Amino acid sequence: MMDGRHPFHDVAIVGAFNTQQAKSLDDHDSVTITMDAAIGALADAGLTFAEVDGVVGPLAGELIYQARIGPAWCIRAIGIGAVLEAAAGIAAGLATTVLVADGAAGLYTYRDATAPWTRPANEYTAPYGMFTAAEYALTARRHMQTYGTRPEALATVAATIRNNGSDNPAAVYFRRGPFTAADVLASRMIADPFHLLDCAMTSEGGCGLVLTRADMATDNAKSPVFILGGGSDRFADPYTHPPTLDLGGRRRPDLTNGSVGRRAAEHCWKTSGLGPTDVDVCEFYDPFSFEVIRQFEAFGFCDDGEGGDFIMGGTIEPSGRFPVTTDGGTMAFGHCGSAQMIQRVARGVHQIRGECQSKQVPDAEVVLCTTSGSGSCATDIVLLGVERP
Amino acid sequence: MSFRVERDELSSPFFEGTDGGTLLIRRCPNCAQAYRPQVEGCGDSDSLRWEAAKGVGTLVSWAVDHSTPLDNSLTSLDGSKVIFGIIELDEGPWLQVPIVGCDPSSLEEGMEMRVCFIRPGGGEAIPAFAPRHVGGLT
Repeated sequence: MMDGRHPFHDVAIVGAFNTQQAKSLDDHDSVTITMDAAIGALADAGLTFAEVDGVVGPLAGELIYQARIGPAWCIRAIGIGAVLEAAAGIAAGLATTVLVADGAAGLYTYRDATAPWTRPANEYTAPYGMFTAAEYALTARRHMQTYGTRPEALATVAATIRNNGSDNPAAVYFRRGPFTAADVLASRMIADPFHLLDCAMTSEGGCGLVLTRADMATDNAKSPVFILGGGSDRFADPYTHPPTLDLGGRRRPDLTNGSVGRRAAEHCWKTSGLGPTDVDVCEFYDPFSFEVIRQFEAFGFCDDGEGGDFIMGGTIEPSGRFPVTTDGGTMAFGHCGSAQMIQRVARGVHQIRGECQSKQVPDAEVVLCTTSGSGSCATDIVLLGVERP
Repeated sequence: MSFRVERDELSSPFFEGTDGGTLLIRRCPNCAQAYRPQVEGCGDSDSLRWEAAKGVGTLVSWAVDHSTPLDNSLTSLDGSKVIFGIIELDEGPWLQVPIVGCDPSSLEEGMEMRVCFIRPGGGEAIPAFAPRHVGGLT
C-alpha cells in the first residue's frame, strides 16, 4: 500500500454492459453499436447521459456529439488503458461520471482469409505473409522449446475457455461445445503449434462501462465495484515490429516482451497490497491459448516455465483455484474490434456483483482483468474488488 | 493477395544491400549497440550506421503457416507451407524472417542458419534463412 489514501479510493465502477454479440451485426456500424453499449451501461448504472461529463474510448468524440453531452472531458484510448484513464481522470477531479464505450460492426465484409488488420504493414514483415496467429505462435514455440511446455497444456486452456463460452447464452459460440483438449489438438493446423481452436474468432458487438466518484455511487441500483490496482506495459506499437521476444529496454534489462505485463503486475500488487493468491477469478485476454499460460507466469502466479503445468489439473476450470475467462473470451464470447479489450473488465464487474448467467464463481471478491496484444508487445491489467480501497 | 516489395527512401540502403546479396543491419555510432534493419534511431544517436552482417545465426523459434502461400519463393521443401522464423544473428539482433530450403519437421532450436535472398512477387530481394548445410541457395 502507498502512503496515504489509495489512488483509486474515490473511484467506483457502477455500470457494465455488453450489447448483442454476433459474427456480424448487419443493422449496425461501429458508432451505432457503441451508442447501444453506452445506453446499456448507463441503464445498468441507473444513470442517464445528462449525468455524464467525461467519455473515454476510440469513438469518444463521436459519442459526445451524437448523445449531445458536450462539452465533456474526452480522451481517446482503448481497452483497459481507457478504464485506467477514466479512473485516473475521476481521481484527479477532471471528471465526475465517465463513460467508457467501444464497439465494432460492419467491418467483417472480407471473409476469405485472416482479418486484414492483423497483417503487419511494413516492408520487413508483409512480403512473406506474417499474420497475428503466427506471431503468437513464435512466442508459444519458444516457450515449448525452452521449458518443454506440451501442446496438451495449450489445448487445455482453449478447451476450458471454449466450454465457458459454450455455456454462456450471450456468447457468439453458445452451445458449440463441449470441447476436450483432444478436440483442440484434432482441429486443423493454422500456424503450427496453433490449431484452429487455439485461436480467437472474429465477431461484432459493443461493450460499455460507467465509472463515477465512489461517494456518489451509494444510490445506484447495483453494488459498486472498486479498482484495487492497475498497470500498463508496452514494448512497441501493435503489429508494427516483429515480436522477437528479446525486445528489452535500457531501464529494466531483466524484462523482455516475453514477460510483458510483469512490470504492470508488480505495480498492481504494490498498489493493492495484494498478490496472486488473493485473486478469485482471472478474466484474462485469450487471443491464443498460449497467451493465458504466459500471463500466469508474467503476473507471478507461477515461476517462468511452469505455466504449462500450472494450468493443468483443473486449476483454471470454473470450479478451480483460478477460473479463467469465464464468459468464453475472444475464443467463444466475442471478439469485437478493440471493444473486446474492455469486455474482460465488464465480466469482472459482473463476477463481483454475482450476476453472471453462467460460470458465476461463488463469492468472487477480487478479479484480475487483462488485455494484451500484438504477439506479446503489450499488456494492460486492472484488479477489481468488492471492497473500497 | 500477393506482395511485391518496393523500396522507399528509408529502406533504400537495405534493399540495395539485399540486391547485391548482403544483409545489412544497423549499429549505433555512440553506444555501439547492433539493431535490426528497421530501427532508425536508438536514443543515443539518430543516425545509426548501416553495417554488413555476416549472414549467419541460430534458430530461436518458428511457426508453420498452414494457409495458402503468398508466393512460391517462400515455401518449404515440399512446396506447401511457409515457415516464419526468428534468427539470432551472430552480431546479436534477432530477425523475424521466412525459413526456406528445408522441411518444417527438420527444424530444431539452436540450429545453425545462414541467409539467402528471395524475391516474392518479383520485387525487391528480401532475406530468408536456411539451415547452414543446405546448398544451392543464393
